[in-house]
Amino acid sequence: MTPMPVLSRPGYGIGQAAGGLLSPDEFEKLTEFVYRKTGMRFGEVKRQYVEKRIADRMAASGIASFREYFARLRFEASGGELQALINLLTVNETYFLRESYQLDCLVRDVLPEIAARKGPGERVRIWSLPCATGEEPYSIAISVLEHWPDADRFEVEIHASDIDSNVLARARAGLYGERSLQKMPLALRRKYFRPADKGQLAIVPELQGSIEFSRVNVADPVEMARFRHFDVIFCRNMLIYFDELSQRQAVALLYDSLAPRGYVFLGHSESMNRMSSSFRPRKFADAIVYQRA
Amino acid sequence: MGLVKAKDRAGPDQGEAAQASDPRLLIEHASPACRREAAHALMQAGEAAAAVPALLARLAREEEVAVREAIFTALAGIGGAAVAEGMIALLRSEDAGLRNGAVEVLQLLPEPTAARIETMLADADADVRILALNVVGSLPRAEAPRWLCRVLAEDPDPRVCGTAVDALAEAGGPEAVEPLRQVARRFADDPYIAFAAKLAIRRIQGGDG
Repeated sequence: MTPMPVLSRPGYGIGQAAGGLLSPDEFEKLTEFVYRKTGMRFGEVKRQYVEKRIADRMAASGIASFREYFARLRFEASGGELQALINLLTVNETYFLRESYQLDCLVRDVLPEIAARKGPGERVRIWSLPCATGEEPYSIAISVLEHWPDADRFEVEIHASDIDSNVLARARAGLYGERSLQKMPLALRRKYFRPADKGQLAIVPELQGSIEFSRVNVADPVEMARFRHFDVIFCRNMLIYFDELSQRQAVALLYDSLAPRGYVFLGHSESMNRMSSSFRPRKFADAIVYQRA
Repeated sequence: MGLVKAKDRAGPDQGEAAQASDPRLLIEHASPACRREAAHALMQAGEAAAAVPALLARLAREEEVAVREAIFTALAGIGGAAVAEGMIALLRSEDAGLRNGAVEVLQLLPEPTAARIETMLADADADVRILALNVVGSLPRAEAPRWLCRVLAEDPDPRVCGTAVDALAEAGGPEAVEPLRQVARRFADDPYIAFAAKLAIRRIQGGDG
């Protein structure tokens, strides 16, 4: 997962408004197009955020008018400019307990539904994909242990996969700095981490050993066929970087990896509705989750 | 209990289709899960184009939504003229799910679809022309505004013209303004076209027209 690049150039640094780059109709046309292509919705309150990124892309492309820029965005066969804009519009960095309302939804609503369908002692299988450097699967594990009262009645299996073997090695090592731990309460740091070299903290061995790490290419049906019968898949902020066909293909394979009535958590700016009709959106108190029909 | 390590397994949990030798036979399997896996496998096969007839034949009688979706995705992945022709034929289906799936696949196949758009827009069936416009509305092709403007000038059906007007609100440039004014005059009794044309012109002109 690629962190969002820091944008700054002379005369147009972070925090500076683009200053009415787009008329209200142009803004509406642009945001409706972006919504149709990506599922990301940007209202008027996000105008400055959007305009700044449009201005940056126009400058990078050497285009002076919005009309010309929109034509490239809309008609470019490769979709390269659209992807470049999406990369700027999405903020993507990984840290512990990121978008914690989804973890709350997992333990308050989703796991109890799954538990109601299973007998005591049965396995509950959760998959974090892509797991990057491991913050997500460890956060899931901590949330389950801390906040799901029935955790002890079931065998909870957490798998974590990524296509990048380098980040998997870092995930397995379980060493993190302050940036990754910014949202982790002190009590949980003390409980699940130990001091390590260079000011880092190391995941305690019990937690580290409970996650099953593996490499997988989500676009490969043969590799994906190794992963089946998951009750929950966390697939956040990955599909947004795929083109439309690749999104459909990946979602089809995620569907096959789920148990019947299994659940998928997507990133906050992602929507299953554009990619598949085989999932039912479920609106819980804390989050929207997609359930295999 | 609580957190446990994954159980040791004898081997990867392979799906039935992944282990089978000929997914063209498995696409007719009794199990929906097996048919989905066969669709994935056919898309990846060395000569995927040869699987198109089998996929289209299964799609025509497939009732499981999830299997249909896997077949549509496989066909989009394979692409080419035979897939585009198969999707255009489905635009006449009585089944809305098949029609919508066909539109989505055509949108994902700009080259073979573009080569057939003018024929689709001249179809005798106005519903087919509307679905063709839904495809044009999302196609990343520079010819799209020209196709849409021609519909405004020539198509006799106000529903078809209304769909083209909607598409031009996003795809149109300055060259579409006069055709939009003309279609509003041609269907002066149709309040929707007047409203939509005005909105499209505003969008094209960035609110200054």
